[in-house]
Amino acid sequence: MKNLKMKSARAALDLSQQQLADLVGVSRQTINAIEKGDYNPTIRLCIAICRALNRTLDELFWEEP
Amino acid sequence: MSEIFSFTAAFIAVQIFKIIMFKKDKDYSGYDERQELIRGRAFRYGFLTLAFSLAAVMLWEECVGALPIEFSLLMMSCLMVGCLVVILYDIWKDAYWGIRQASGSNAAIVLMVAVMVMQYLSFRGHASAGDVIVDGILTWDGGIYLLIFAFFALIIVNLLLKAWVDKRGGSAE
Repeated sequence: MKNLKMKSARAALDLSQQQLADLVGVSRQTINAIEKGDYNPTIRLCIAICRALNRTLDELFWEEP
Repeated sequence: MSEIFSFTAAFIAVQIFKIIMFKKDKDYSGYDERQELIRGRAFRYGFLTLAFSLAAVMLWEECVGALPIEFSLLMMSCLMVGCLVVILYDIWKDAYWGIRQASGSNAAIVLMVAVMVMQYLSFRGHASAGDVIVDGILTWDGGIYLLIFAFFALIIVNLLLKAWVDKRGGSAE
């Protein structure tokens, strides 16, 4: 499932995938894979992304059943 | 003496390759969990391919007969097929085997083309000397250059194809 919440949070800060990738220390392809729903990140990476985007885990990664 | 010189030259070439390749991509030298996961899978597939190809060659030679290729070249081919599986899996799964992590980074392709040109020139030298195929058997001296040429050609083609597919799909947003 696509992570549109993360994509919109990134866009709200006017960050490119490359810039976010640099902030959290992974490759652009990994950020792209997370946003497309092709890769399920570990909690460590989720926290790093939340910190970079100033959001909480719930806001970015929680999915309502 | 010439072997020592060759190994020293190869070692220096690898160090230069590493400096050029990882200077631009130094930000990616850290731990990228997705890429590590993919590389782990790639190594597994590469190892299995190597094991199966060696078994297939042995089985063929036992059941059908000797292949018209020098044994050392045959073993090297199996090894390189295993390596190719690792590299191509990484390329198509966006783990990129440590190269072309940043868009527009073409240093790897330039280096590989340079290696291919050198291999082609060496192959031509051996072909004109007539020692590529001796007594109907593809020899190490001629075949190894063709093998390395094909190895890098396949990597380059796949890298370019992947870049084209990414461009069409708009992977960077």
